[in-house]
Amino acid sequence: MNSYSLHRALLSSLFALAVCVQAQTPRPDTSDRARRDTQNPLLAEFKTFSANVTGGIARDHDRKIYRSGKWMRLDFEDSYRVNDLDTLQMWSIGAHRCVEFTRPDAGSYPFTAYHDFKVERTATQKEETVDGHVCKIETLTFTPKDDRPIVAKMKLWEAEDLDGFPIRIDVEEGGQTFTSTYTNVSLQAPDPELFQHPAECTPGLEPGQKGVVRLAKPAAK
Amino acid sequence: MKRSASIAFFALALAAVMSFTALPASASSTTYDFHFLTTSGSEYCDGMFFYNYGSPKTLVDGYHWNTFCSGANVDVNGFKGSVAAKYQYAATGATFLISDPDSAPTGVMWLINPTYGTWNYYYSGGGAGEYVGNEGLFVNGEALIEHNSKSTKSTQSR
Repeated sequence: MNSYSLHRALLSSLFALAVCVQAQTPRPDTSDRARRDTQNPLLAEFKTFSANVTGGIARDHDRKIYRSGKWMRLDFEDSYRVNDLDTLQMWSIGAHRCVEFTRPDAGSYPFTAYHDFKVERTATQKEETVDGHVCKIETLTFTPKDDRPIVAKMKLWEAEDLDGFPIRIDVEEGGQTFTSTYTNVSLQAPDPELFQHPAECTPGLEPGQKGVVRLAKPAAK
Repeated sequence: MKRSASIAFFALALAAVMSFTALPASASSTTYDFHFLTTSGSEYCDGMFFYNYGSPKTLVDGYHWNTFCSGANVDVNGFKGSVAAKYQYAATGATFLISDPDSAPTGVMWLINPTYGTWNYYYSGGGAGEYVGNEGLFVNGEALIEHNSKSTKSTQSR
């Protein structure tokens, strides 16, 4: 073997080694990224938290909200509501009765919004500080899978110190903007008992029972 | 001149009588005026006043008083019709469907069932699906109501 052949063999070996090393280097999973870019982060992420929500379509003020997986609870003065984020059913549980609805509670918005829509996520380089939290800004565009002429744009302020939890969400749709803000955010899993509800609600009022609630009339003057 | 004045007076009187009979609050109408109550009977600060009238008697016109506990009223109207029990609060059968333009940044539709004494309402989702706002009870005409007073009772507006 002359020096030329030796040189060629060495070069070939180095090339083969380089190809082998490249083949063994893990590549970024583009399918994971693609999946993330088309997932609604409000459903796919932030699966356990508790907070106080203000605003939204119901103009709530400091209403307590809890999430554990597919369950979302909102507290009221004398009752609470449990929403199923998969089916969008809702149970309203009070001291006297439980009633099941086929639509979610307004306080669950926008977590229960645009479930059957396509979503496009766009991370921006912008940062803003909201309520003392440094936030990255992400924008989302929701469009229906059918021919409904609706486009909803969502802007999330994702707090870096809360694992990206969106402490402010703006939804712009139909010329209106709905702002929801979340304070006292905890990412700890709430007590599972908070989400308990009857599998089937008992029948409600009967006709003619409307008089069971009596208001105290003012004394005659 | 004296005769023409009499005729004018008669015409005015007739017009007044006619206008009164045209008001919804005729003998065949029913007046509703009540506080919204929570599901356990506690009083909200606001309520509804409306007439159910017409032939067929399915028209509704009135106002949501003390809306958002602000002392202001907002005009509402709608119809009486049948809505599936699953969309109502603890009730079934005919209910009042009342559109309220000023209860939220988005549209609101009240379902007020006079037979069961229950109410609930839905917010518009802008075409993406509605949301349940709140629900509760009412007792028609049992309270002495000051519509525009800023109640010191519950200030919850939901």
